[in-house]
Parts: sequence; C-alpha cells; structure tokens
Amino acid sequence: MIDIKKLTLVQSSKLLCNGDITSIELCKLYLDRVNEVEDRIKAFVYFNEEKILDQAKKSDERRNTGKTLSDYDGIPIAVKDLIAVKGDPCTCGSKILSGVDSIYDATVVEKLRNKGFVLFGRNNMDEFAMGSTCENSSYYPTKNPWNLNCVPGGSSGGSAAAVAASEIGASLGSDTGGSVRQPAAFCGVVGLKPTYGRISRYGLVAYASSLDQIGPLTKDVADSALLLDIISGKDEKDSTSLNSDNPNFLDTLINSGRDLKGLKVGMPKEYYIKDVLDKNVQKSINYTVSVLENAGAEIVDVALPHIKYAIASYYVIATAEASANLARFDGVRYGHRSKDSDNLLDMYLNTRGEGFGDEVKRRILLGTFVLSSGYYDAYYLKAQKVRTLIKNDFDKAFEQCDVILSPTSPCPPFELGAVTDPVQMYLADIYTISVNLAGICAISVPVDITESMNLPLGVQFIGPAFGEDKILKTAKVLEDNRKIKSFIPQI
Amino acid sequence: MENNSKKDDIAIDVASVAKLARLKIDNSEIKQLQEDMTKIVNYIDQFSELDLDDVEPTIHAAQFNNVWREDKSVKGNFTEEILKNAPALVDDELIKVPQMMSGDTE
Repeated sequence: MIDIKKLTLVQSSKLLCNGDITSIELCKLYLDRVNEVEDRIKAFVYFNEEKILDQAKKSDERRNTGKTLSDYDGIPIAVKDLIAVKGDPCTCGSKILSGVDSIYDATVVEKLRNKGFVLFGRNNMDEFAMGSTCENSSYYPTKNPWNLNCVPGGSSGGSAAAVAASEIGASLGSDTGGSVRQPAAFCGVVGLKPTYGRISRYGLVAYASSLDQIGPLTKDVADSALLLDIISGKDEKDSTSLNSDNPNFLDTLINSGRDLKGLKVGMPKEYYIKDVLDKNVQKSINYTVSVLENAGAEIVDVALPHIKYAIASYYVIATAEASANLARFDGVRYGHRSKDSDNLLDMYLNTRGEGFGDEVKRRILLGTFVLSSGYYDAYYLKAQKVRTLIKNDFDKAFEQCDVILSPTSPCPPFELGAVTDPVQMYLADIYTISVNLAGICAISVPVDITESMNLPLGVQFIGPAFGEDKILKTAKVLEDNRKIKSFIPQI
Repeated sequence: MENNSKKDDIAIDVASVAKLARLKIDNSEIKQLQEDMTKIVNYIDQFSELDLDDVEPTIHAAQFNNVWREDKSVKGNFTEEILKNAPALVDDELIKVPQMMSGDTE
C-alpha cells in the first residue's frame, strides 16, 4: 500500500507513470489525510474538493489518451496564500483582502499547470508574510505537527506544516527573510530559498520586492530540485527575473556522486558564539560537520564581519519597501472597505486601520518612519550601505569556500505565545535574513530531533548567486547519511 | 538632522507617522506602538558604529540595466473580472468611492 506519510513527488510521479495510481486516487488520499488532521493543524485557509477532483479527472483523461503533459501530470501541490491562482481567493492571511479572487495565475502557477500539476489549495501564513510563527494570520494560528503546542514557524508556516503532516506532498512558499527556510526547519521538511531573480515573482503579492523570492517546501531534497526545475526561468512579466543557464537540477542531483570530496564548507565564526547558541542547535551543527567530513568535505573558517548588522539593515529595507507596496490596499479597487466613511481620506484611514493586523501596522509605520523626511539618510540610506557590506562579506567568503553551513534557526520550535517582544522575534531570523539581503541562495534540511521535546532541527547551507546545484548536492548527501532517515511527526 | 547617536533621543511621533501611512490608529494603541517602535529604532541605531561614508548603497540584490521587451500590444481583457472584486460600482463599469471632501469643507 502507498504510505502517504513518506510519499515524495518523485515517487508519486513513478506511481502515476506506471499506472499504479490515478490522479483522482492520489488526490483523494491527500483529501482523506486533510480530513483526518486539518482540524488540529490548521495549515490551509482554502481548498475546494470539487475543483481538485475536476483537475485530477482531466489529468487522468490526458493520461488515458496519451496526452500527458509531463511525468508529473496529476500530482497535487499547494501554494501559500499570497500566490495567485486564477479563480481562487488570495488573501495573504489578511482581512483586508477578504473576498478577493485572483483574476490570473502567477507565473509559477502557470508553469505548474503546464506540467499538469493539480492546484490543491492555499496554505495559512503570517499576514502579508510578516512574522516568524504563523501567529499573525488573521484566520487562526497553524500548529506544529510535531507538537500542537508549538508554532510551525513562519511566515510560510501553513505550507511547512501541511507538508510535514502529509496533507500535501509539496507547497510553494515565499522567503523574504527566512520565511521558507525557518518553518521548514521547525516542521522537519526541506525548504529552498532560490537566488534572487531565479524565479518570476509575477503573481506573488509583494512584501519587500528586492528581497522576496518564491521557494518550494518539500519532503526531501530531490523534490526541491524537481520543483526548482519547473518553476525557475526568466519571465517577461517580471523584469527582475534573470536569464540564467537552467541546469537540470534534479538530473544533476541524481547523477552527481554520493560524496563531497573537494567541497569546502565554510563556517563563519560570527555564527558560532559560544553560550549563545541553543545546545540542541549546537549539537545538530556538530553532528552535521561530522557527516560532511565523513563524506569527504573540508571544513574551513570564514568571516562575515558585518553580519551582526544584518537584522537592523533588513528591518529598515523590508519595512520601507513594505510601506510602499502595501499602500495599494486602500479599499478602492478590491478587498475590505470600511463602511462608515463620508469622505475618501477617512475611507483610506479606516479601511487600513480595520483591515491590517498589529504586526503589519507596526511594519508599515516603521517603514514610513525610516523613509520620512529627516530620517531617510539616517536609516534607509545607511541600511542600503550596510547591505553592500554584507553582500561583500559573502563575496569574500565564497572565495574561500563553496557553501556555508549555519543553523537555520537559533532555537528549536517554541510554544505559541512564547515570544511577544518584536525585537526578540526579529532576532530569531539572524541566520536567514542576510541571505535575502545578499540575493544569494540557501536551503534548510532537517538533520536531527531534540532529545527532550522530540522536535525537528534543521541546518542551512548557503550558496553563492546561482549556486543552487552546490547546496542541493550538499543537502542531499546530508539527507542520505543522517541517522534519522525520514522525519515523520506522530500525528 | 537627527543623525548623531544620542540613543534615547529618538522621539517617534506615532500619530503623525500613522497619518503619513494612511493608517487609523486608536489612541489606546499609540503608547504600545511608540514603545515597540522606539525599541526597534534603538536596535537599528547600531549602524552609527559604522563608517559608511565611502560605501555605495545596494538598492537591489541583483544589478539590472534597462529591461526591454518587444513593443507589441497584448490582450489584457481583464476589465470585467477586475471590477468583480471592487467594493462598489457605478453603472457596473466605474468604481465608486466616497466624495473627496465632506459637505462641510474645512
């Protein structure tokens, strides 16, 4: 029998191609699983059984008549609630977009449809991708499938929890400062933040445009490579998407050797401050190092001297961009509009005051403040200069190593409501944020489980711009050689 | 310029920033927001340790020149669907909003 808890996209593809299962059967397996656990997890904000089965039926018809679109035709996939799927709601986890249906497909969705994927539903998230716990959703918080008292991470917490709980085989999230990688680590799944420009952002609702990038959350590294193959590429509709050689990531991964001989793994000394790092996290890093060394990798020291300013730089740049991007939500053309406003200005003020949650308001205010007259030079311009220093740090580090190893998060998953101070919450992004500032790529892969709490721990491999093949390979070797073979929560 | 590193001197006028951001903030929320934002801005102020005079700002992760596409018209054909999402319409084809100024102008 098919074990849905272990089923990867690669395996689903084989089953479909061999005729061992139909798309309808496969989708029903996931729908059954959703019915079984979703009450407890709350990973979805929308799915429509009829639409799912209709797509599946069409896929099966294609397969029966020799018109299959690809080996993946008929595989269901979910997306975070900020990626446009024509005809489905797109609310970004926010009240301000209630009632809005997308009128077009995001480019990534179009690419998935062209391969025959079934668009399954929409995953919960922190409102407008602002948060690290999924507690900022206007719907409900998503729970961590490993421990329902713990957060799944964020902002793509619904995507990570859905994949971990096997409600779906894979989901697309978005990563502005760690929003794919951190929830992946918290839920024991693989999360990839591709190089800026690798994937079109057309149809992705913008948080911070110079940092946002769509990325897959999957059961394993091979599935991550598979989805990257499908969704990457230059797009006329996103002028910041870049021309790049599109290597065949999945084939390259499968055909590359099983060892890491010749690979230099950098460990930035600034990342490993004694007594600051959680002891579980430290242990998982030590363990990762031993696995990598056994596979033939060489560990080298590197320096990222300006990394301590990354969070400050990020929270200026991201909020500044957000304050501009979120100006469009004003109640005029779509979404929530405040009822009792007798003039236009009041309608703006009331609509936005009612429609946005606390964290979104805080970030819009901060972004507006750092861009306002008299503060622009002191904060915004300086943050952009610090961004240059951080970028240069990575450039120099990658002269000495091929990939960089770090924890994904400085701590294991914590309980809902445990962190309320905004600065403390922002500090949890310390290992992920600099990757977005530099525009480079990184992957989080589960490596171990905490002894006391039975919670997953992830590590992060950071690569240079367009160095996805290297981090995928390193992550795959770790995945193949770690002592825990598959990360499956008891739910 | 409030550019010197007198840390506890940062006074954020939340009410006026909120006005700039077109956000209605209840008076009851102002104190907490003021506290949170001051905390965050104090944290950000660690920039003042750095000498950034000769550093070029990075405005984007990737450097772009002009991005061109072929100058040909493509069908949008979205109008009706766009209007379906609008909160209020006039004659089914125009978006309706409250008047710019209330009757008794200030």
